[in-house]
Amino acid sequence: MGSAYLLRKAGGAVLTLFAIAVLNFFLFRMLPGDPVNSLLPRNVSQEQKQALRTRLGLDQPVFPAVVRSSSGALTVDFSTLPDSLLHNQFLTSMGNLLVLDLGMSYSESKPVLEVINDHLWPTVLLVGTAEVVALVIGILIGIRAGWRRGSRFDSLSINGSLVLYAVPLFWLGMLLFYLFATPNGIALLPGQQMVTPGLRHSDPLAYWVDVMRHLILPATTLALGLIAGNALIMRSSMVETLKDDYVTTARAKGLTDAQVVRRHAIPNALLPTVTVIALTFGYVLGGAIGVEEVFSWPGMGTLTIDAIHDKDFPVLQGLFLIIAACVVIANLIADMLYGYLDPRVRT
Amino acid sequence: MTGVTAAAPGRRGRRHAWYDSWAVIRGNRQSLLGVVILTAFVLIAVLGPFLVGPIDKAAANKPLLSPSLAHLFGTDRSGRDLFVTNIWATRISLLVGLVASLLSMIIGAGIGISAGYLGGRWDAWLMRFTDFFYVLPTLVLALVLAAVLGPSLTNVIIVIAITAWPATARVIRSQTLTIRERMFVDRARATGASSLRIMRRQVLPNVFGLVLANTTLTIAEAIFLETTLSFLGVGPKDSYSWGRILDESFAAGALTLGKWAWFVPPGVAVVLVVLAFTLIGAAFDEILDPRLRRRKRGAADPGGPDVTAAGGSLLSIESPSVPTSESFDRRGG
Repeated sequence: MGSAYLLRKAGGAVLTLFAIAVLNFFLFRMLPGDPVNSLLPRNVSQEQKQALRTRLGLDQPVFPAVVRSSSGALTVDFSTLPDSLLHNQFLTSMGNLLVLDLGMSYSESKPVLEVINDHLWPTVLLVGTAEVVALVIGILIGIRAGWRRGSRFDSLSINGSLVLYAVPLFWLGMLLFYLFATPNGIALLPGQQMVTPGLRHSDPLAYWVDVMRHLILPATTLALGLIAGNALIMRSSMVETLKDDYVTTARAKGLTDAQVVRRHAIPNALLPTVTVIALTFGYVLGGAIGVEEVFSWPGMGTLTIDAIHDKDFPVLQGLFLIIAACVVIANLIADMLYGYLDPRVRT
Repeated sequence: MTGVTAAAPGRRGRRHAWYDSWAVIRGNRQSLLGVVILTAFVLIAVLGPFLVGPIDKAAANKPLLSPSLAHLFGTDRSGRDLFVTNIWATRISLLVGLVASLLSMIIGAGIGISAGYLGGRWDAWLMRFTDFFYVLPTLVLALVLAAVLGPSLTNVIIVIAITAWPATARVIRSQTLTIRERMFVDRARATGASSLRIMRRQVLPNVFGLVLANTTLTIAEAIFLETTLSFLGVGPKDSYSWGRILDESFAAGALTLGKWAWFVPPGVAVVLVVLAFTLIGAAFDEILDPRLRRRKRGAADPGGPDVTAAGGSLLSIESPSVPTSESFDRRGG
């Protein structure tokens, strides 16, 4: 792969990450009021407040020559100038980011990175499982629909996908919960948390079986939402590929229909599809938030909602940064994969 | 969504276009279904609240009643009639969807037309800005924005408008690029018209069909996003939307209590409305791109029921053989 192409894409991603960090900084400076007030109980003295402000670096100017007045509004103050060029919240926070210091959580007295880390792997497990299932099933449906375009199967799968596409994932989760996790339907599966509360697991195997049972409903919900999109993407990729010249050539060579599809169409249609699906990573993470909330799955989605309710802004800020960074990196990988697979875009 | 054929249509041409559009919608069973569903919901949103009266703030009924003739969807935890609440929610949800999409269309079309027409450095910077917002995960950005701004109807509309415009800007820009090269734009430029005037008088009317087609998809996306935001607890607290009913039902344990009439109707409503907009969007694609139009009935039609157009609207294809991820990015999840 051309190294210029690689370099340009990587450079773009780094620039985007920086822009996200800047946006993140300003977004949370827009918050009204003094953050110290929401951190401390009401009856603390001014000195204690000031001490906390100093500790959090909130007494510094926000930006060179921009200070927060006592009323909370941002004002320009040139008298702070040569000093505030170096000592300001913006530079401090960017510097902290470079060493991966995301600050302390308000509600749990732990570093933000640690809090997020506690919730990382349940989300990885949920999203990973759903994505794998949705890839396999979605691509299989897409192949069949695109190959037999206009068939009963094709219109059924397209219409099904369109309907599924209009269903909010969290609501789908609620329906599945109602039907399969409560006695109102058939209470087959657990629908809350990741493990049965209070249950002591004698051995790791029992623990994993328990986790898997809890995983079924949320993962099915998320996978159903992804299958619709994946099938549509694979289908349209199949349809386009079947129009290509090399498919006509393969037919002209006298290969059977099945051979043409299996050897020529599917591999060629698959590559762009997988790349495009990598680009949908942001959507998957977004969808996981609602699903996690419904099934009380202890992942980053639930953490996001909890952070919003507790006004735990450092955690929310950290989550936004990390999720956005994941999406940018997934896009970069998709770009590179695509450039690697299709030499035409490497310019 | 390629190739608008109209060349600066005059009034007569436009009327012709409207007639053509209606013919396409009427001839396509799916988009007709979309129009019927949508009309029903618009009627409910406009007239419904007058027929059912205000939401019962005093909550005179018994809480958690099951559906009956007196209370079609039963009552909620504080005794409010859920049928009445759902009728009012229809109005709020559609209103938020409509206003937020209009705002987002103005931002998207403005940036798309400017970038496409002005070109060069303007184009590069505006598109860099657009791509930045395009990459950010929609729902996460919307959640953070809503949390920072605080819960209110206006804020939710602003949040949705801010997160929804980039897809539109990209589509409008590429359409503007082709229109810029057309004769009538050259002619206008030769007469000394300013860029702003050309963008308004020559470019805008010619991308307007596309803007409209995009609006249908954006409204669906906006309603989707509003529902999710309200369900996750960052929506407005002073009015009822479908998302807020779902949030309250979930928080009150309607799932374990078996109160299906509490959480099924609002969800079904969201699905129907979003589906209706998607189907109508597909018809718009057909109107804008006559190549997609179905051959007359009776002729050999390998496409069967016209589902390809619907698929096409979700998967706008940018480069040959590569469907884009637009379909995903357009929604909050």
